[in-house]
Amino acid sequence: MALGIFTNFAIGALPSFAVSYGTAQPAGQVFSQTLIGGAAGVAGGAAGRIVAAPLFRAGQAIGFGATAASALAGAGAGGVAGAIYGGATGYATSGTLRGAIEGAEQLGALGFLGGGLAGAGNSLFGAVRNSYIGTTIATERAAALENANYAQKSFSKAFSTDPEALFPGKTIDDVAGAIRSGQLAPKDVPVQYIVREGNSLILNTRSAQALEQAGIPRSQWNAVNMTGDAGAEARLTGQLQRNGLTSQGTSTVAPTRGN
Amino acid sequence: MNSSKKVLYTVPVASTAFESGGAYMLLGTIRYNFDRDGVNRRSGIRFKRIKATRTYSESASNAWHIEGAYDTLVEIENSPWVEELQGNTADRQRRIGETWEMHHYMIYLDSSGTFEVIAESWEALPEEAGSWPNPMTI
Repeated sequence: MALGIFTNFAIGALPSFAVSYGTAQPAGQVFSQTLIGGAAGVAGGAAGRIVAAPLFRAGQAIGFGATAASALAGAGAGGVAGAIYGGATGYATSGTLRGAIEGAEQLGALGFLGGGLAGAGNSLFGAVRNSYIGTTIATERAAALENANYAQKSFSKAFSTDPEALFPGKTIDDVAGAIRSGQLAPKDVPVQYIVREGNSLILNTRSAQALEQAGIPRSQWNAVNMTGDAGAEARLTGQLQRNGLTSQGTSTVAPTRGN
Repeated sequence: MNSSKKVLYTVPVASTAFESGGAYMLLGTIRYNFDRDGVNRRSGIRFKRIKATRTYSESASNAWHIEGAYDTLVEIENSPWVEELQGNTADRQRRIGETWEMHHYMIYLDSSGTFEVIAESWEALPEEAGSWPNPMTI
């Protein structure tokens, strides 16, 4: 920020110095023109940046859409941003309207070209990146649950009655049956887990049991990595401690004998 | 002044093993059912002269709610919530000639969330045979 202001001040001040030196104007006039030029530089640069930054981001955001429109949108956004920034900078450096127009034309054209290329590039990059990231995350999560253990020794057959719960009042049998019949998809039954000391530990025992009971392989579970979430980590610690387990958890879990 | 937690009581079985969908609060009592040696049992924590309550679902409970309070009733010492309530009711207490004793209690129970109560006192209900009604049917 400080460097930016300094740069703009210098850009604005330089022409003033040049004009003043060439015409041998009095020192006081040189100083005042320098100040005016510097202030214009600061204001022009700041205004250009304020306007250009969101427009450029908009161009980028639209560019991620992986469509041909993104290139046009990027070009449009880049052109407008470049024109505004160029106009502001041109005015700041020349102190004239003509300078501003020339600056706007030059940087506007560059911005149009750059924005178009950026938009198209972002489309392609976004598509490839999202595909890669999506595949990688799904694979990593599924792998994390493949050998995951439980953090409790026993579980109730009934899901929480808390109104915010996913299946309030339902039993594991109910949910497993709904999965088997297609009323629920495996993705509708998320299973949170945490990786602690190299061990993957399941936080939602009943959801996992319903999926197991429905015969859904762990590779198809909707795994949600909660590692690093302070609340989830604290809950896991509580589960392990109250069940007398270490961070290895347990691979076997049994239903309680009640309801 | 920072708040701190004083341990008061730990529930008799892990809340991960509570039956009937976990714990719930009704009429000033946190109720829970569990299995002991194949027999349905019930117990709870009753609060007396409750002035305020608030609950956080499991997903809305944060680390502060859980650490030290998992399955454990704690008293929040130097509670800003008590301070607020005392301030809001100071004039009323003076008018009616009473001084309200307020304690901030908190417990986190797995799958049920955080229960917070401002009350005069608390007591653990004796463990007994039977089950509390399912809250979905009350």
